Amino acid sequence: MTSNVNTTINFNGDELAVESGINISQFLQQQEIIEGRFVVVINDEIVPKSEYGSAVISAGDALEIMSPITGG
Amino acid sequence: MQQASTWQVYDQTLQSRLFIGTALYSSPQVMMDAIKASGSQVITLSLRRQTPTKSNSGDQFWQLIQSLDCHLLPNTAGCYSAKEAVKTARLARELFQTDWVKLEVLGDSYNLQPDPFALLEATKTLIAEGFKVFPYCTDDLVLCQKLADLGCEVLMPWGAPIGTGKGLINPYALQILRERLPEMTLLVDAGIGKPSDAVQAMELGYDGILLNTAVAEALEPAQMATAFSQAINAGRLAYEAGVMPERQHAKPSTPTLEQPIWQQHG
Repeated sequence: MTSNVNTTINFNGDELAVESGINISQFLQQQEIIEGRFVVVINDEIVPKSEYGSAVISAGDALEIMSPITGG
Repeated sequence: MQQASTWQVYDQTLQSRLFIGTALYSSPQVMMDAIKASGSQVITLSLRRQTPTKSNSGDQFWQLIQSLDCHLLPNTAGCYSAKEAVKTARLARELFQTDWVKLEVLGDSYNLQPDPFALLEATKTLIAEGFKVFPYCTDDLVLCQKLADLGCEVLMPWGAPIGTGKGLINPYALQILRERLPEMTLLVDAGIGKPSDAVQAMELGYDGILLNTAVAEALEPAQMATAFSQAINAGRLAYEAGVMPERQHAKPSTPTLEQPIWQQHG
């Protein structure tokens, strides 16, 4: 269950207001993040895909999405 | 065309001796054409904070990379401490599902020179965690010996600073590395500008070449990739064939026996 009360997190370096109690699956859906190859990191810890539905985002969390890019 | 022998890179047997980067191409299609023309079986790539959404290109890059069916060698580019590099390597393992990592720990932002002390520290940690480390290092013999002692099976000394295209600045140091670490798999990584630079490294007995800029910034990247592929194969074939020893004085190639009397000079 989520509420409409917003809380602030840091998402990829920028502040972002999200619904309190939201989990990662819901967050990805709300941000229109497509299925694909990426890794979710919360407060420097990798979150396994199997935990996206249960891992709740808390106020002040630093959430990063890491994706493949070109490199030499 | 005759191919040089296959070679072993950690647990993989490879035919191509060229590792190629995926950066700096003018378009995804140019990148794909160049990588295919190179015949490379190993490609380097990286990771950054980036959100694949419907409104941007999504994960187009990843889809293209997957279609190549190459081994992936993620790098830790842009890291300036062992801690950053280790963290990036762990993320890369999760993201790309590989234990291979091109370990870059930079010590100087002007010439992107590796920090040998932080490199050793990060290597030690990552090998303990089961990574197959490909350290981007300088051509310092003692550093390379210490990396080997830590368990690296592959070393990747620079030919010159990244992106300079200066070729092999210190062939002597690279030759000494080859002679002193005969069992080590060695690639020259960085600084290669021309196919002849790659040939020079391969004739010294290097096992392979890692490059990116020299192909990506060519006027015709796919054609340059072909040129490098052929040059690297030629250099390796020459090394395996055994290069003649250099001499200080001339030695005639045409027989001098039974010359007519007017050609006998002593």
